[in-house]
Amino acid sequence: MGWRTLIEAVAIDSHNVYVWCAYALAIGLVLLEIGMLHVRKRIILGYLR
Amino acid sequence: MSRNTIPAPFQTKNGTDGPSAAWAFEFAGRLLPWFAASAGTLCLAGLYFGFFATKAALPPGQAYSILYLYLPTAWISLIIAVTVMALTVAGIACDTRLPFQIVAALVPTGALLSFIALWSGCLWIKHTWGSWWVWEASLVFQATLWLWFCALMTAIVWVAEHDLSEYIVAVLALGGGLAGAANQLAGPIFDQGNSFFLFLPALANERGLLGLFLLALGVCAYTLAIGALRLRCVILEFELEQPGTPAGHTEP
Repeated sequence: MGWRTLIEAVAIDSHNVYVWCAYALAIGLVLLEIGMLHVRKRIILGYLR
Repeated sequence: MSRNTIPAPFQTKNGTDGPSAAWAFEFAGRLLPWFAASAGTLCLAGLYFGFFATKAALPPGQAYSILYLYLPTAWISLIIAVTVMALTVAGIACDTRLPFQIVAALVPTGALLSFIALWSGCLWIKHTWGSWWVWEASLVFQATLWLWFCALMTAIVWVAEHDLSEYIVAVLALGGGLAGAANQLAGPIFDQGNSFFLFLPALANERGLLGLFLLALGVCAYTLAIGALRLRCVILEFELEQPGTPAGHTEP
């Protein structure tokens, strides 16, 4: 099973670029928020050491 | 940050020692892994039901998948807004700092979720109607909500004086609540004419609605997990700013 077949099996709107953009935006922003919060935590812990 | 890192002493706004911030710091640390695990599990389950299980029920190529992103984020951002208003009222009524610290922990996630809802709504509109923006009630509401969250974040981040920052946050939160209530009284925002609600019947098979429900719960758990982690950071940062606080007291 190739990637294309797998993607088409997963997503009902696999050919819709707007769906991909929406999910990529959401996942990217969530990862950015988690990453920024991790950096903030490391800065605090670094200050406490 | 381990669970046993509780900085001391904590001070309430009226200068007396209060256990509330210490309790919140520890409580947030204990709940954090449970919320994080729940968020991952529920979101994956929701996407499974949303994508796999409704594949046969929904016509392809209609961008229905965006609604599985738009609706949960829009719902939870609205719940965060109501929670922020309630916490502000509690903070004013009890004259304690902890509710405002929880507000500071929740507002960035509220802004993120309303931004995701706004842009996913715009992408859906672009695909469906060919325009990036229409003056549609739910989109206008999301844009307003995002601007409101941004204003709150500005007050929290840029105003260094805590009492002044909390005063501005209270004015913005209560003003936003009054404006939202007046808007709702003038004309319902979430009525049946709302274009996004026109697609709910298309999702109204049991698996599709289950996926939507699980995703909403997953986004809620994500908000609580990120909020708990950020609350611990906010509490620690506040304590480190206090004169005479032994920063070395807290072992990371």
